[in-house]
Amino acid sequence: MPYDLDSSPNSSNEYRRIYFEFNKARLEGYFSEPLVISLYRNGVKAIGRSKKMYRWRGLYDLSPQNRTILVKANGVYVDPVVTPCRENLIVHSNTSKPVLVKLFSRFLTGHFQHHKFLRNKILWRFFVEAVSRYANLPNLFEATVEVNRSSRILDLSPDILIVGGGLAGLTAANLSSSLGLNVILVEESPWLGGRLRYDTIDVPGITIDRSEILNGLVRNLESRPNVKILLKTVFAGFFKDYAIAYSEDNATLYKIRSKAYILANGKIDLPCIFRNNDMPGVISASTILKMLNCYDVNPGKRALLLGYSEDSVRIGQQLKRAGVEVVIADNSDIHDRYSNPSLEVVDNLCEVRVAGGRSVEKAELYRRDGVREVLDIDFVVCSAFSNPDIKFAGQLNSKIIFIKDVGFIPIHNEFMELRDNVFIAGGATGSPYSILHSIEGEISALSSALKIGFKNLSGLLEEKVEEYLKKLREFNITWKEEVFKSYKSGYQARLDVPVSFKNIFISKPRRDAFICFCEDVTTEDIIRVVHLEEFKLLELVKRGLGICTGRCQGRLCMINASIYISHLYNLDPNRIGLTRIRSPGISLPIHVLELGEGA
Amino acid sequence: MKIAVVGGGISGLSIAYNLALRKAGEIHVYEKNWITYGSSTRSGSRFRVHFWSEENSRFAMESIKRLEKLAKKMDWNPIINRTGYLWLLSSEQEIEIFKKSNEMWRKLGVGGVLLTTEEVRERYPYINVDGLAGAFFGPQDGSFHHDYVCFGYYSLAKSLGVVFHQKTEVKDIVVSGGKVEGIKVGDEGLEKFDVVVLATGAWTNIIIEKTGIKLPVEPLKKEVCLTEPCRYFIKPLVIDLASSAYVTQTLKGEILGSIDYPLPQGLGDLETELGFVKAWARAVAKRIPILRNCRIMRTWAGYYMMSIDNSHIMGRDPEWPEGLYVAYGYSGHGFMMAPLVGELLAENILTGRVDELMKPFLPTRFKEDKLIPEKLVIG
Repeated sequence: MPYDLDSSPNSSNEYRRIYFEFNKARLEGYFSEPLVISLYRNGVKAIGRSKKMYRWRGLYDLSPQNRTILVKANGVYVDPVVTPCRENLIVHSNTSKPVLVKLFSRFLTGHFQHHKFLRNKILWRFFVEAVSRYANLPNLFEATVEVNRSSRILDLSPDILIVGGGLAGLTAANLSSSLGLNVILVEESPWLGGRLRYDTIDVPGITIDRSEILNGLVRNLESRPNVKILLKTVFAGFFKDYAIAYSEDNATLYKIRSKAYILANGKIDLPCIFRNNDMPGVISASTILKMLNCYDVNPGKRALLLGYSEDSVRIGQQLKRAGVEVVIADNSDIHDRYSNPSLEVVDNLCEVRVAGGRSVEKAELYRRDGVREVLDIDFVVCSAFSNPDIKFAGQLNSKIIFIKDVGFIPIHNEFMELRDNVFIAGGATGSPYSILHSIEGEISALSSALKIGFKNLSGLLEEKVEEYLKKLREFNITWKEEVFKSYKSGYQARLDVPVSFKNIFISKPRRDAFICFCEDVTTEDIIRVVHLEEFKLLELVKRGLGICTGRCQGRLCMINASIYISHLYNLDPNRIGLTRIRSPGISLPIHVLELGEGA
Repeated sequence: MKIAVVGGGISGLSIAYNLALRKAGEIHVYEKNWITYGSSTRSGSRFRVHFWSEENSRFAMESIKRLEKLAKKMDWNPIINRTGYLWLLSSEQEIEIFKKSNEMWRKLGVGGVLLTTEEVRERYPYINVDGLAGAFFGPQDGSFHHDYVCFGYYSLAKSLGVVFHQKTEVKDIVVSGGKVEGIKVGDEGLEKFDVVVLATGAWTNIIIEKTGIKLPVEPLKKEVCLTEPCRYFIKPLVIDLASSAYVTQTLKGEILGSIDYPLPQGLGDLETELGFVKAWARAVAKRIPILRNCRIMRTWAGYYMMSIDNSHIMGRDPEWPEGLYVAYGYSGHGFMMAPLVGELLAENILTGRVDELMKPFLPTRFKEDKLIPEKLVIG
């Protein structure tokens, strides 16, 4: 069987209990669940230290693409999000000598990097040594090279490659495989279903039977020999000669040449910008939901949810059912707050600061009217803003425009076409509801089939598109018009009204409010380059500060950096822009790349 | 005098700064995208003074000296660090060549050291010396931060009153009566200038050919790989001369490198190839086995603007329209040469004087058949 239906969320209690070691402490976990989840279960939130400023860091998101923190497991540097927990695994945080790092950490910030002091030649030598020796990075000499892993490179040439096994991806796979096309679906998590597994994203008032839909789709795909599903495999994007995907689990690199591609890789919960937003215990909304519904982990006792929206209210209610006290905080005036009497809402905030030792213990909320509130909390949920994953659209150099209250959207047409033979569907297009995702899945499958040569489908496609446009009007999603128009005419989106951003919770640039977690770049660093040099293009800010160049390759920081600059200068984010996203989308080990063909 | 510098890469920025420093008049820099956009920001950010030809070696030596001096004035620290270049040689023939060149370099005051494989093993224990015959180490070579060098020039030039036009494409050069009249920008009409300097790197042919000038220079696509950061351990830039693969580590900890890989000539897309990544991975895994544990995070492509003799072109041909100057065709050495190119070209534009160091690089060398024999091009 290509995938394991039984690894479903609710059967996690049946997993085998095992013991492992973290920094010399013996801990209990469940076999094959992500290491980071096992650690959280045991109350270990701070997993490692950041690169330059040596701050504690922990789990933010469960995507294998972020690689925000590495640990050493059995002598090998691994991402604890991807690495499964195993019996007797010996895990260590990656830390340099603390005293020396602390001494030099303040010299390693972006803020300090361009300081006049550095022009002193003698001190400069000293500084270079410090930077190179004491930045908290993996030491290759302390790790073993895994020589006997059965790594390999495989060639794939399907008719359609689908990225993402959520509702849109599954629907697309279902329809295209029913036409007899060879379909490969790549999914980064251990199960199919995406948000269907842990979240409800329905049009208010309409509920769909999620497990019924999911099981139906999975049964169909299972019965078809022309469908191949690759779980725990990350699509790494497009090179000129091949598209590639990589499975950490069995060290396999897939070289792909497909006739068409469908990108259904969903949305990313972006970090909120507030003081100490890098502290362990600050977690993305989807990760909290996965913890509750897929891994059966209690995330904590008292939560602060950032951002008031349909999404955060839904998450708040789920947390409440699990016995968590919840406060929702928002940076604007909420008028309909009493329509949700079950959840406490603090609105009109200008600044949020969390504090604690190694992880979040307290939150200070500053309201615009001068009122200050202090809450005891043990975790923070970033649920203010999620944006479509623009990585592959960026790699393909597709145009990406900012739409007010929605985010950065890769432009596509109503046939879900992104470029030549690349199509897009689901959350990756910015659409909010399941109903739309499933229609988009169908449209992208039909468009791909048409591209491959199924000419007789054009009638059906027209019908589906008609239905889709009708639904968009019904749900009053007018901004899609702008996206489709931009695709046709190259129409330049311009916002003439000031934009407010839901995930910004600081009143001025702060040295402890982070934008980039890989390179430790703060909002204060950003203002320095932007203000000093008038660099109001993200491409230039990137080059000045090194944002978007760390291990996550801009996945968490790029959009935040762009909107933060827009926020500071009251500019249209379309003018700040984004940076070019380079291949590969996820880092690939050299010991796999060096393998010969067909190895 | 009103001067237009076309191109906002390191070359254009250096020329603009040096002109402004000499109070040349009104200086405008035109850049199609944003400053550093072209090949400058895609550079491997390393410099060397060891070239095959004496002309290039001398030029690079002086150029780096200029940059080091200027670093003290810059708002941005260019992070110049003389980490050295280590050339791994796999045949007696290669060693002979380096021995001979080293005599020339020693005369110039930048002699390096020839190492035996034993010495390589001792000094760089992470290098696998199998199949090597020896090595050459040039301690005077090193690294800088390419973006900070550009930004440093940019902010100096800006403070001296240079006007920057970013996201402004120069469409044409207008010539009348054997004299440059100005340039055409975007859809607008003529902008009048007395002098136009082309520092447009790989895109120079497109614009210069409109004036009927053709020089033997072609862009060549090159790709670069970058790994995830790890603790700093590779100090010099290590070049395996046999495969032309090079590896070096940035201060941020990333390992950067490239390899000679067949890529199309001419301007095209800047997408990268998996085949290239695999070729580089194979070469570095063989030479520095510990890197097998490292992960490749990013690749990008840029252009070397290759002249027929692998050396840059600066100045003007007396037969060209009056007021037209060029600085391009760096053949992959633009960053190291640009500080001096800016200075000498600015002098040349303002006084007409051709410096001794500049003379061999004039565009007239192609028709006079005085080519510079440069054979050491890497990457």
